[in-house]
Amino acid sequence: MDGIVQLQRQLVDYTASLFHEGFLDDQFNQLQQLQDESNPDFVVEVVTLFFEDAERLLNELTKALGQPSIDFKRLDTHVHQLKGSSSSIGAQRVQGVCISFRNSCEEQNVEGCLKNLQQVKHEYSLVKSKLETLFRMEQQILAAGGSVSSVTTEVHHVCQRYTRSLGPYSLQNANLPNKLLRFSSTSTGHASALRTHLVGMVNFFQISKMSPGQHSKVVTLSKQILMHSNCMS
Amino acid sequence: MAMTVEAQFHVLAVDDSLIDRMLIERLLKTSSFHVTTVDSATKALKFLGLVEDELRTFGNPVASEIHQDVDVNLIITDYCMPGMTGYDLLRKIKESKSLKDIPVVIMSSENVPSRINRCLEEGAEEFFLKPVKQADVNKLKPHLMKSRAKEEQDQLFNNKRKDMEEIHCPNKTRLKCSS
Repeated sequence: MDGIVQLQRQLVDYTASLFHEGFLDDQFNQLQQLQDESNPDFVVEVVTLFFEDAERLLNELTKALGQPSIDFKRLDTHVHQLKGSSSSIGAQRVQGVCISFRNSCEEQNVEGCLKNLQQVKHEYSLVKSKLETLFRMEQQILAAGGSVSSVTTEVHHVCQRYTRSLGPYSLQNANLPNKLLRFSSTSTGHASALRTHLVGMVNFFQISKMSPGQHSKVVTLSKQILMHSNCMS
Repeated sequence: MAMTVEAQFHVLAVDDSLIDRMLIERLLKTSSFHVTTVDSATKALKFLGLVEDELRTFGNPVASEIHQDVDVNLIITDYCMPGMTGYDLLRKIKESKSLKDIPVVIMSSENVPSRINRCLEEGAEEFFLKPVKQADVNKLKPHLMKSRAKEEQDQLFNNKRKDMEEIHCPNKTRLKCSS
């Protein structure tokens, strides 16, 4: 029994770390919420589809960039698809690189595209291995006779904590940067804890859904806060 | 006319992405909707009983309406699809006599205000930003309840009118026989 509890604990921590480091965002949490006894394999099924889709698209992108004359429109279509599917499963970092990739396509910047392709391949392989580890850990728990749904519930609470910190503000709200500032100024405790939490929040919250103006505001603000907390520590 | 158990709402989901179709189907089913998914706007029109007439009269393709025995209460469609877009689908539905009252919801991965406005102006009930969440799907029931209430009201009105016609103009065949 102790063994199962420990495994469950490890899985909660591991999943939380993936959110914290920005590999996954709230959408992954949403997927887990959709899984239940009647659909026990939902997350694995969707993620497996994502792996297949991503690999196909990465091959297409590699081929397209290898052509003597590059079809940027076609390139953009593939990147758009990859951006969509990564967003649908919560693979935040992959989605983020896709955004830059689309910009490179728009600018018809070959160098940029090649770099972005490398980046997206890298991010994809990272998130793939992380998710495979996560699924393996789930299997271990199930094989030992434990349940994964309690883990999902706890992970969900971790996500709720992040969401509550930002309150009712959606990313479309221009007040988000102010909210972050207010949070940091009222927050007590060690500066490094604040730093970690702040980075975690900003990473967790689907940065890619922000408009470019909002995004740069938040990044600037986060940097200011981090610099400020550096002086404090 | 006895009111039996209320039928489930039937939602038609249109998206070219398999992952997104899986997602939207799961989201809708957790809200107890009956779901049909198709991967293109063309297939959606076919399912709805609306077929594009290949004959171009005056340069405009005419959509001929086949008798439709499919009961769809809501259509939710992706905006960006190869071939016919979700916006084109929305327009075709709103131009159709038999389908124009079916609420249509558009989904898009891109937050483009002009796009959103265009869809809402064209008659879309809601515009969801992808990835669609449970909170978004929860917004659908009111639209469906409203449509159902209107349908029932229309039906009641039509039944009343039929009854009135019977009173004032009794069975015509009987008259024919007598003459």
